[in-house]
Amino acid sequence: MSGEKSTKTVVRMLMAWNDQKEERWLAEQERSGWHLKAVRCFGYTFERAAPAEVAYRLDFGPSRFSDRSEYFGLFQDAGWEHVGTRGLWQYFRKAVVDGQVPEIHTDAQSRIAMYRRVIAIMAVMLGVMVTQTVPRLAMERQSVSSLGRYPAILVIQLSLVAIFAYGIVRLLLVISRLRRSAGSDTALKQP
Amino acid sequence: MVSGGRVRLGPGTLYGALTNLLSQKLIRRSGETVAGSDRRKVYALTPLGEKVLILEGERLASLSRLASDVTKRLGGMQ
Repeated sequence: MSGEKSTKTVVRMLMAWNDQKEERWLAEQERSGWHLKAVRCFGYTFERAAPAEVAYRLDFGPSRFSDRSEYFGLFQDAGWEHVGTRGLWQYFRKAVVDGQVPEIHTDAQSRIAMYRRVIAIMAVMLGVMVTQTVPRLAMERQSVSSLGRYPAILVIQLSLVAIFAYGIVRLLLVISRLRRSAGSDTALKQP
Repeated sequence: MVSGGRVRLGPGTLYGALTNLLSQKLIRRSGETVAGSDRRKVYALTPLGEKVLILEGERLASLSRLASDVTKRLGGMQ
C-alpha cells in the first residue's frame, strides 16, 4: 500500500451558466485517475481509479415532486449512469467509445428549453429576494445607522439579489449563443 | 427505427419532447405497458395529435411535390 490517499473531497460551487465547464472538469478528473464517487451539495468526492475517457453531463431535471421514474428510465435506456443530484441538477456519465462523445441534448432547442427553466426558477428567487429587500432598504434610509439593525442579513440579501440577477444575465447570453449556433445543430446526423 | 438511424435523440431531448407533446395534448399515456418493463410507458396520439400529424404530412408532401417539380424543370432527377 502506498501512502497516497485513495479518495478526495473537493469543495466546488456549481454555476448554472458554467454547466458545460463543469462537465469538462469532471471528465478531466476521470482522465487523471479520479473517478467521481459522490455528488455533494457543496462539491464532489472522488476515488482513485484507472484513468478513463468518460463523458459527464448535467441536466436540469424535473421537480422532485413529479414522477421522475420515466425521466431516469430514459437516461438508463440510453446507457447513461446516474451519478448524483445537486439541487435540481442531475449528473450522468457514459463511457466514451471510439472517440464518440455521447450527448443527452441532441439539439440546441432542448438545451435552450433547459436554460429557460433555470432562468424561470432564478427569476422567482430574485423576485422573492427583491420584495424582501427593497422595503427594508426604504425603511433603513430613515434610520440613523446606514445599514440598519441587522446589517449582515441585508448584505446577504443584497448579494443574493446580485447573484441571481448576474446568473440570469449569464444564462441569457448562453441562450443567445446557442441560438446563433443553432445552424450547426447536431440533431440530424448524416448517415 | 423509423428514421433508419438518421436521427439520434438524446434522453434529455427526448424527455423534453414528450413533455411538450403531452402538454400540447398531442399525445397521451395509453396505459399499456411494454412487456418485461413496468417502467417504460407507451404513448398514443390523441385525436388532435392525429389531425396535426396528417396536416403536417400533407404540408410536407406538397413541399416535396413543389421541390420535385422545380428539380425536374431544371433538368434533375432523370
